[in-house]
Amino acid sequence: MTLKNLFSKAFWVRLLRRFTQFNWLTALWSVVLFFAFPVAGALIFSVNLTRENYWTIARVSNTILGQMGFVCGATILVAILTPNVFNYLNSRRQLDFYHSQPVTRKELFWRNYFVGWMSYVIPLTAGFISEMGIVMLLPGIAWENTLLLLKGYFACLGTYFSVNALCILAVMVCGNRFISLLTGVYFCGAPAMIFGMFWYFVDAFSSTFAYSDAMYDILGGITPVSYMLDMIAFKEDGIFNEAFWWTIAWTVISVGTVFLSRFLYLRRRGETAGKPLSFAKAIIFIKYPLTVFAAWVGGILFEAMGDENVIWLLFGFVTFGIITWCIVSGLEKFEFRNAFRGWLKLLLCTGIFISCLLGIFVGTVIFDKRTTRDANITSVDLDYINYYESKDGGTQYSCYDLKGIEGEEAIKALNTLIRQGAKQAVTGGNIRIGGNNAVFVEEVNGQSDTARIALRVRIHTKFGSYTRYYKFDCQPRSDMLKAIKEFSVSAGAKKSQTETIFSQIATEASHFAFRPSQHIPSAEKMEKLYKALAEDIKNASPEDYEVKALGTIDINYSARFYSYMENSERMTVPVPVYPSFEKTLALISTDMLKEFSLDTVGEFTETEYYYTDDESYKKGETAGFDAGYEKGKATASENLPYQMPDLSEYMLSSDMYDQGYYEGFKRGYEEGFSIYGDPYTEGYNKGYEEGHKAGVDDAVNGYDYTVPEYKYDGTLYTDGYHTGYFEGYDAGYYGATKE
Amino acid sequence: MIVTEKITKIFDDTVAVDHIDTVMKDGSVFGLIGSNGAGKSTFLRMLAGVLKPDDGYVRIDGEDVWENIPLKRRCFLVPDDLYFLSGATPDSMAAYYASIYPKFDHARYNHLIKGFDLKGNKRIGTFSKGMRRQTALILAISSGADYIFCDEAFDGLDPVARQTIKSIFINDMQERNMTPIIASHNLRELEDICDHVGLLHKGGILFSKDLDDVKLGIHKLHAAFNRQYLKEDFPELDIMKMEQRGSLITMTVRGNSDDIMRSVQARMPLFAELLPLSLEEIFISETEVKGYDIKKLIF
Repeated sequence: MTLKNLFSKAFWVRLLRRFTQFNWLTALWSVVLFFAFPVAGALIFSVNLTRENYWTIARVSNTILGQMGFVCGATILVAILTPNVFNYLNSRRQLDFYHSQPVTRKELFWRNYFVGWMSYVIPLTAGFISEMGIVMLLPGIAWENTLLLLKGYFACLGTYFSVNALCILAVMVCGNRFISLLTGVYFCGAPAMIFGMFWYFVDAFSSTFAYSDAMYDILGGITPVSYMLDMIAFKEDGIFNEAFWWTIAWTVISVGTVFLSRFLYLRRRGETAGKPLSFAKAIIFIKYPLTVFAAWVGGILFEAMGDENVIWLLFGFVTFGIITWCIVSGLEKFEFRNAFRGWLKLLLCTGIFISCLLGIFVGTVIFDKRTTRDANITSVDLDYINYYESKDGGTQYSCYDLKGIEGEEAIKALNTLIRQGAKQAVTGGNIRIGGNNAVFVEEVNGQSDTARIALRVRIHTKFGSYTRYYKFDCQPRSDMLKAIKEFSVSAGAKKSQTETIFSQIATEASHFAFRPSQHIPSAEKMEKLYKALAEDIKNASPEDYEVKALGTIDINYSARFYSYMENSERMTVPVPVYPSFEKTLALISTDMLKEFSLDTVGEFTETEYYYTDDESYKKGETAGFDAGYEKGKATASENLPYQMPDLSEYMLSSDMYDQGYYEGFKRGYEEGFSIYGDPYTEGYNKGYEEGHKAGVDDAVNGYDYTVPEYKYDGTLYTDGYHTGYFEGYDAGYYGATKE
Repeated sequence: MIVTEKITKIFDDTVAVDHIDTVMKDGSVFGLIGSNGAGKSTFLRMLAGVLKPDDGYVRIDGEDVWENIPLKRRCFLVPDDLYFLSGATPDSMAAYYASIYPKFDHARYNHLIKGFDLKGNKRIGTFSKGMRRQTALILAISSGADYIFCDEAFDGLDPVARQTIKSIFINDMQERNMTPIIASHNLRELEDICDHVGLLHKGGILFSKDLDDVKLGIHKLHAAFNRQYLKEDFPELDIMKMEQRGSLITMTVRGNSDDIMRSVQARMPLFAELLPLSLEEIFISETEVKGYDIKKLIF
């Protein structure tokens, strides 16, 4: 088909006519996008704008990327469905209808190919434009955010292009709708499946090759989906990064696939309509890899269930292989008897596969040995990332610059940073004291979020670079006693001293937990204990840890801090908390169990943030908190009503510092007002005293729960009295009952 | 004129069409008859350019039909299993065909749709089998195609509709030299309209002749003799089949009627008469010779 014919009027008339036949697909996709784009966008933005009145870039980005992620996911489904336009090839009567017409097969191919595109692109573009409008019209949202949308839009187009090309190829290769659907999914997922198995195999006996740059380079773009997700993710390394080159590669692959499909269309025999395969030789690319893959999955599955027993590995390998072979063979000719043919080929294939595995095994072991040899290591880079994820999906990062530290020094620094990381993760959040079971409940960012510590170690050798990641979570709510014991072991601190201190702290804390009103720990004692503990851990030298090899993390840590990449498991590492003692004691003395903020531990002042916006926000938050705290304190001390100053100037500002200031001020004011409200404290103490007395009296003389008369006049005193009375009553009543 | 030379089509391990040579003259009706699975539909699909022959070629007016768009504009396939676009009406199908057949005649279409009492704006999916067949044939005739390939053309049509379609075919053959190629099992229907017939059996062609030549070249003989005769007793005759009940002999014989009668008379029959064969009887006789004798399952 010449270019002239392609753009002829008749072609477009016929194309539009064909397009109208698939209006159900367009309509379905439009409905999905209507809710995913303008409706979801307007809903999320409007609700949050009403609540918060401002947006951080992180929140806008997350919202947009969340939406784009959903659309990208749905795109895969549409890309699998749109090859439905070629399904007439699978029906003899439809094939007679179309192929007897005076229209070239080339035109039929392009017509249907473009119809698929139109069904996808028209609703996507409409939804995209409406979403752009919403994002741009909303106040306080930087226009740069629309670039994220644009990026996502092109990522969706790319995803569709690649997945659709593979699915169309499947339609050309197969003659049956169901089989072609299965084959399309297989074509899209096969590279990732095979690579995944390969990686799993290599990782079983290699600690470096599985994490080499070459492996990661392949991983980033092994499927059209993975490279597209990579593409929309935030990248610091400019435009010409891996995602860019994978985009180019997949574009070339997809264009090639489309032309291969066209080639096959022209050579497709009409009589194959309705048969499982239209090109019998294509089975080579489907049957054998799929059987081997399934066998491999079965082997791993049974190996895991059978406690890594080789017998179970072989059992799973053989049974899954046979079952898959039978299914694929049965489907190959719609005849189950076909499963009993070609076993010799399968055996030959298995032999080749095992030979390949052995070759890979030998190669990677050699690579592993060379890369871990000290003499071959040229340099080591360490990135330490300590971050926590807040409730709204925002993530804040901090980073230690370790460039320039090399060799064994790097390993030592690494070990030190792990300890510091545990502390930093906790001290970045808030502490709440209270409850009956949990003594010290640690929360990050005021929410039940997760603090995480991640380490990236890049080892450069003469034979290539490789990377290891270590990530671990900090328990957001940890029982002090357990946490301390765990940490004492996991941190590798000097046990003889540390355990004693932990034990004392735990005893104090436990008493407080079960009898918060009766046992108030001594401030001096607690502070002394904590300081001793901190000093002990601080002094623990890297020599306390076993350095196994340059570039690998200490074996004790490897066992404790499970890596995501290594085991695909997410493990929890309990960590102790380091409260600010002044504030703790202030709270304990008044029994006001309120949230309060910690001071940043001095030794982490060199923390740097990746993003300047976050840095500004953080600075603003700190300044705002201080100002708000003073203001709240002054208000409470003067016995003035709770009245937050007008902060609209900060609230509506798009400056990140101002936004942080606004948030910090609110929190600071709240805390200052609560903690330093003398009338409230006086009222609370008075109420607690009387309540406690009444509680004890009721416990001894029989239940006669009476509430003293008081006049609530909105002052801090009466408010404090009321709260204090009830808490005092409970403490007195239950305390006397237990005794 | 359509010429096929040694066209062959093989499906997996089955030879559907085996080296068939035929010539179909313009302005005549070519009837394609054959046993079940003889390859009639496959043959038609190759003529229409749907299937590509594995061997040999199909030429229409000297040109290969495969992917030849100008030539395919002169051809129209009406398959046995009809397909219309989903939700289509006769009018929308007419518009569709008008976009690919430049000579599509809307006036003719409207005239025929009214004549057959069909509703042009009603969904074809609601039509009966016969009405769907009528619609397909009307669209084929209106397309202005010179060659119409009909697979089971009259299947489902009532007698009046059958006769009407035949009349239209004859009219178009006279007026614009249209050439219908009709494959059917209904040999009586073909007998009325066909000028030329091709008999397919097991992928091969048994004969391809003018209908008159076929009928004149094969005869049924009833004769009674005063003695017993065997097939071998008539070496000068091309006897396809011979049955004897008592003194009465029934033979199906190829050849000239005069020669046959002369040969029989020479043996002094008590009674002898030569009867013409219907196309159906010719079909049965010819295929029996090739071993297609499933009647023996019953008799």
